[in-house]
Amino acid sequence: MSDAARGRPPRLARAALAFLLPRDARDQVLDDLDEMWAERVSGRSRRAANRWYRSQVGRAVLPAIRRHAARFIEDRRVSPRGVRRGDVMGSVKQDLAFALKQLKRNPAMAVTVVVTLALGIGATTAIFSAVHGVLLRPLPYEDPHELVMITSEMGGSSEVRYLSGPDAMDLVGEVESVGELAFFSETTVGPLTEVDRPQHVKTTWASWNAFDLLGVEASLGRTFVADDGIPIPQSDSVRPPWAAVISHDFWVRSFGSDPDVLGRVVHIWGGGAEIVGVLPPDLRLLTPPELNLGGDVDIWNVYRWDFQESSREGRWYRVIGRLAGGTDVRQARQEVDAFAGRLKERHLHHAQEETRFRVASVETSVAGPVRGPLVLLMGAVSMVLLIACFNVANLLLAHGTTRAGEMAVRSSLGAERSRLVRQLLTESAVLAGMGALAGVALAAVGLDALQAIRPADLYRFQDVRLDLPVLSFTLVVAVAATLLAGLLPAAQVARSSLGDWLRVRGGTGVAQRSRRVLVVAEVALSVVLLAGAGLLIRTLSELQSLPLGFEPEGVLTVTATQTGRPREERQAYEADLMNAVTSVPGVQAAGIVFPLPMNGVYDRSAEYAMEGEHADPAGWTEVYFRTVSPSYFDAMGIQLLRGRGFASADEDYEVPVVILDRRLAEREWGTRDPVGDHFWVRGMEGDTLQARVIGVVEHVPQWDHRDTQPTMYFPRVFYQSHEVSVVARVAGDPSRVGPALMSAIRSVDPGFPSDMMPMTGFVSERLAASRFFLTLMEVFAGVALLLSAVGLYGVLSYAVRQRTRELGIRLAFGAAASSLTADVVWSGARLALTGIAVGLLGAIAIGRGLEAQLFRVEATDPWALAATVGAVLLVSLAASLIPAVRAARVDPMVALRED
Amino acid sequence: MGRGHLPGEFEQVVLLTLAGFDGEVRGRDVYEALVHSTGRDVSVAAVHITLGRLEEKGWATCRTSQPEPGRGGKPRRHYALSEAGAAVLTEIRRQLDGLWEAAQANPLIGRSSGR
Repeated sequence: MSDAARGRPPRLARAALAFLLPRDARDQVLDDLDEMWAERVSGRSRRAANRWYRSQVGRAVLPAIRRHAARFIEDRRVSPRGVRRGDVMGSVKQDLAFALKQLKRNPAMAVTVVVTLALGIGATTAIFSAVHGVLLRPLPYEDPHELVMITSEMGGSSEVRYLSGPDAMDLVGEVESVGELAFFSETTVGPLTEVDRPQHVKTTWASWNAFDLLGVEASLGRTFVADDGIPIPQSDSVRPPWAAVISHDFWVRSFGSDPDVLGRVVHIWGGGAEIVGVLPPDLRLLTPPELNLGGDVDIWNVYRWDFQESSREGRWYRVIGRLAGGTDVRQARQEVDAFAGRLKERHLHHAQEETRFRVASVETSVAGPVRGPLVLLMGAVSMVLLIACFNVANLLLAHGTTRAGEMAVRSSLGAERSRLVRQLLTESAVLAGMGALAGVALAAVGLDALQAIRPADLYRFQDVRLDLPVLSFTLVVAVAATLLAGLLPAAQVARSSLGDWLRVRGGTGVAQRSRRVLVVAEVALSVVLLAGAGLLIRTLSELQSLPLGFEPEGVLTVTATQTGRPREERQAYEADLMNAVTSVPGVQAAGIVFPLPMNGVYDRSAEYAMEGEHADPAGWTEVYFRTVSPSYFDAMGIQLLRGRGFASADEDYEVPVVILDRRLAEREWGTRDPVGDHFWVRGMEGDTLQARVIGVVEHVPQWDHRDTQPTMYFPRVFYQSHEVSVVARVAGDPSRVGPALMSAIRSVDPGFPSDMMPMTGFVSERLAASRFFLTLMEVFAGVALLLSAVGLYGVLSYAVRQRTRELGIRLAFGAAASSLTADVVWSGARLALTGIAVGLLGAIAIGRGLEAQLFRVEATDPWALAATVGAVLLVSLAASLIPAVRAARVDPMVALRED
Repeated sequence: MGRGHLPGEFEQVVLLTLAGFDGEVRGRDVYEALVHSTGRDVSVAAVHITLGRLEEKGWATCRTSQPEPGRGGKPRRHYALSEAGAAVLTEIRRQLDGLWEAAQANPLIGRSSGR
């Protein structure tokens, strides 16, 4: 067979081999392989020969790499200052020295570039450190991917409910993929008493295996052991203290880091808790927000009862499970679904309530509501970085054009083109490096500012810092910035020649076009960012404009907790409290409630059913439940819409009286007057009773501004909680009345903790997170607009300089200066308008992704978009005015003398 | 010679294969003989690279022939075992023999070699 008929070995494979092999073996190997391939083609099939050839490539990789590596090391050993290495290092050094000299020659440009890059890199680094600290850093648990949270839902509702003890025990017994379960209560604020300074502490109950299951160990003492959880019969009159583990922070704060704290008994909720351990510093127990648990808990108490013995209807336990080895969430979900089916067959109420269980990975659900805004911010700073890079590319392009002559001469004197490109890339790398250094400094300052203005309880932000992973990210960003900013100017140089330069004298058409495209892109990106910020501003103002149903200004609140007192004493205590508070000078009205609206921690709800529906379990609906003193509505400024408010005599009625909020009245009675009607209520102790409606008040959002769930109000006597919140409307400056109010309340009973806070503080805390993210968005959008204005200014003023001659001639021939100004402004406006058009499309696309963060605002909100367009146009106009005015001031004589 | 170093395992195999030839051979001959006698799945490139290394260490000699008319005018390399290569193989053989003699006392080895 002839060579032509046999053809050639697989071309790609051969090329790969040629690339891979060390030079000294290359020809020999390729020749032998060609020969052997040809023999195989004539002996067997061509396909088998090709397959053999390709397998040769695969097996050559390792020996070839090993050989290259050995050669490399050998070279370094033989000649430490050898010719090869010296050459490369020497020219890099030369490039660097030259780059520095260039920058020194043009300090204004260098400073502009470094500042621009520092803004982009600094913002990106700061936000990435938040993303890293909050979303990417592993949870402080052993094998966190094995942890799942199990919650339940009923019927068609997606409201999160928890698990009853018996259901959870059955689940862990029957579902094989869930190896173990730990039980938790919600985290509440409890009174710590019988100490020098009574105080409120954050406390949670947990089953004894909780810390073992999470894989968390104490730094002092121990966590819980099985003996701690041995159930204590309810009938036992003497109850020994239960075991408690405290947080490191609480240990430092309240016990001055005293190592003898172990074994001490503290009194919480009136019972004794023996401290057995202190958790490690910086350990925050992070759990999904749905569980309302963890975070900065001060005291963890151990549960001492048999979960199997508790009520199957009471779904109070927050449950975290660890998956059995080798199983995953999906498998657990399937098994738990099957288990839910079996439960419905065994227990009637599960069938009636259509119980479903939800199994979710703790890792993915833990960041909850912070994830969306953070991802959004990361997107925003990436855009700022992109704009910064475009701006720098723009500057370097302009700069490159002025240096075209130098490059062309160097090239014609024999400098390799690759060498010139490398020179320019070295320059941008030096700039990016300086920008990165300044950026890291800026990020450090920015992070401090961020930490200072963030809401105190923002998830995991305490752990955000500039650390090694973040700094390596910055390095990657700096390299990317070098390439983004430096590649285009470098390519420009690579393409041009001395001839080009002599013909065009700087500013080739291509360079100009690239610069315009860059400016359009910058404007477009700023439009996207501004529009996003605009939508969020509109959202926040919508939220702020929602009616609160009460007047928080001028209201002081004090929350106090009483434990261990019988009900009658509590009643007397509340009466004393009211007397003491109303006698404080400056207090106009005062009332008692629990819990306060928008307090962010406590929540109380109860169920109601309409007349005739209370026999059906499905007829009951959950709403907020508050017990208030008669003067509460007055003190808070909550308007009475129908009927009357509470009177002291209401406390003695046989049938309890109730006041509805507007939403509940509208939901169940429509436009009819509910006053005088009866309906059914299931109270806090689980007893079912009839209540008579005596009035309707305005709706008050109890959790946050957008909360629409209605509230039922009862007189205090109906359910006299241990905690009371006094609300006092004061005349003048609340901070002046505050101390007197506090001491009046303490004088009634100094043995229990009490905390004061103005009502406006609670209200603004509910929006703190939204406001925080919005502030950051505004800052980034502002920086973006500024940078793109600088870009536009740069392009226009450069164009004016380029056209000096043309402008001079036009002036000399009698053109009006104003027409030249208009000309320049118009060319700027054209760029801005193109950018705006592109940006608007982007903004609408991005707005869809933003929808989860929006409230009562459409992604295409005309106000936000119009304001964006207006702002960008205005800033663009300002940016073009200086070059435009300069164009009109060109002196024809000077212009014509140039060159 | 490689400062008292002994060849690595694959180097030994290639060197032994080279020793099996009488006189000069080409890389592909070594490759084919090696694949044939050991059944190992090696690559032509690995054999060539190893031969190059053996030559550097002085265990093999290499002669580049004049370009042949039929092969596109490229020169060819021919390898042969050097005296140092023969010495190193003999040294390895001596060491292994000593070890084998001791190992024969092991009943597991004795049994399997007895069969």
